[in-house]
Amino acid sequence: MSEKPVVLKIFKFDPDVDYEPKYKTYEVPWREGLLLLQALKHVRDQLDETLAFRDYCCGCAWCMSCLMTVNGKGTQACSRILEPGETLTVEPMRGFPIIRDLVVDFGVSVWTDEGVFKKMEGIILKKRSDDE
Amino acid sequence: MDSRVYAWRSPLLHGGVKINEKCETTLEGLFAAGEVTGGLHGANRMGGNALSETLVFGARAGRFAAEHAKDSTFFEADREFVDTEFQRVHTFFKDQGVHPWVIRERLGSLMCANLGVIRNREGMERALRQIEDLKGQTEDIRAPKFKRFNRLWIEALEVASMFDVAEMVVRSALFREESRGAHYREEYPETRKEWLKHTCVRKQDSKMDLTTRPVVITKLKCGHE
Repeated sequence: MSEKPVVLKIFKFDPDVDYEPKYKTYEVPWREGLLLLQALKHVRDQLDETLAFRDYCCGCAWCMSCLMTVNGKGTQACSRILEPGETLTVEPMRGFPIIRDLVVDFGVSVWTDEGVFKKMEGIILKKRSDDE
Repeated sequence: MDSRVYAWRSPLLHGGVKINEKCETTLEGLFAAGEVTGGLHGANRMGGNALSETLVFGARAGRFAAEHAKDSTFFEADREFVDTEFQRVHTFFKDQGVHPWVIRERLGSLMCANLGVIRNREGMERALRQIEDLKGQTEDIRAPKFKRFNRLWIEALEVASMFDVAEMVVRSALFREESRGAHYREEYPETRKEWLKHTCVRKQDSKMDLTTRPVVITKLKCGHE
């Protein structure tokens, strides 16, 4: 029995090389209990070795290092269970300067200090009005 | 890392960098604290005991490093060493080869199979040979060519250093001809009084020197004392 694969539309951006971000689509075979973080690892290990995301994490939704935007909502990738055939848009966490792909600099918050926002370089995904 | 840094190696993976009470290593100006250091817990270490290594020695390392920084100047860098190292870290950028985690996994499973709960000479010597074989494959390790958040590159550098750590573990476990704490040797099942000492490994050029140091016993007494 083969279930439908999960489709991940992933934000890709390397400030050293790319003029603007792009989205790439990957198909990951689904299995029972597949987590978004595991799916990302599958993409990195099997499909695209250049994909960057933070995987130095506790794996149990504590440390927040795998925090990213999934379908427009801030989500911890290690606690997001995937359904077969699901299509997800995976983007870096909004409001933080992007280092590469899904990796942001959590050390700089744009929400708390407007001065930082002005000084910051590079691309930041802005919070949308329809986000929670 | 630099061959001048000593490492304590107690039997299992409880070893670490040798520090003094000021958290200084044998390399001047390099301080260490936390689980990277060794020798604090003796032959076995219960889970959660890293607390004393992280909190107590973290605070001490910070204090003494700050004191050291106050009246010290920058060292003159060894240009030749820097150049060699620069060359080495860039050798991993290539198109063909194996991913570092392939090597890492092989190293992990050979250590697990031969230096697990029960150890014997045969297994450990086999591990040494296998580490040597794997080391030969370091040249094949590849990482994609970019420098921004390149996880594979970091992993490649780590794997290259892991060979030294693995060899230190095996050599010190072979060296200790007794069973103590989490180190169990099939040929030497009993704890021997004459082995109440620390094992110290130092990499000199490409050779590992093993020496011993006396154990300082404070409040808690040793079982066979």
